[in-house]
Amino acid sequence: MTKQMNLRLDENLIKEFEELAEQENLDRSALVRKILIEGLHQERLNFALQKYLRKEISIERAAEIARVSLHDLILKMSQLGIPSNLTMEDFKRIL
Amino acid sequence: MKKYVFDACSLIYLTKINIKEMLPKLGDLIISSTVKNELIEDIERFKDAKALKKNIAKKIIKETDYRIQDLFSTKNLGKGEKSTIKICLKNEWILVTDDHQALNLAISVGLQPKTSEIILLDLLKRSIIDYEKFNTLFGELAVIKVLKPEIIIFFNKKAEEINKTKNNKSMEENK
Repeated sequence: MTKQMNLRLDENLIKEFEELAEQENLDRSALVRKILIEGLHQERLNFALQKYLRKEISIERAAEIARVSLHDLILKMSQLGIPSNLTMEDFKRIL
Repeated sequence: MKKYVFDACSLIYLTKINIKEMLPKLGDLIISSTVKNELIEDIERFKDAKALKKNIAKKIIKETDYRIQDLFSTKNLGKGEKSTIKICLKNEWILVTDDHQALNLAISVGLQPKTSEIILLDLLKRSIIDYEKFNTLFGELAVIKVLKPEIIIFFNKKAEEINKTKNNKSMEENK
């Protein structure tokens, strides 16, 4: 089921959408939908990673928030060079 | 036989450095059903997920049938991590986690958790791997986990100490 959502956008941005839609052989709405979906996934991932980096949430919770598998999140973190949130103090406490 | 309860991220890290044959020599490897689901998620894309599924099917990694009644209310942890801590609390088994939040909750409830780095040290201590193998595996783990230099130095020193102690012991035995 779809619902209508009205957005007010800058004229130049609409022009950019139209130009890209033409180049990609898509209609404008399809392109906006595609970008919104990709942007939403990316934003969710960024939000989860920020919270993980601030040590507010665990790695599994970050995967839940980002709605990706733990395998995927570990791969992405490794590729982005995001270090494990374990600290020297953590290790000293348990060793 | 010691019983180790793993959360999903630790098992994924240890699978990535390919030590699945060595781990059972430490003791029983146990996971919760939530962790099992996390491990085999995205199986089409990740060969580690396939390897883990095989090991679960072969009972090298055992899924516990313990039904967890009430999980911790914290929203900072995933369901797998919470279930793993609960199982360890209930049975006094050894928790293995590689997450700061999970580790700190575990310590606060009286557990003495281990991480994948410490599991590697245990393998070295018990001569399941030698010092050279430790260095290779730890090097791989450090890359995957993007470990900070201070942590790498810390564990290299620990491994060196263990190796020295073992060498001294064997020299004394040979005298």
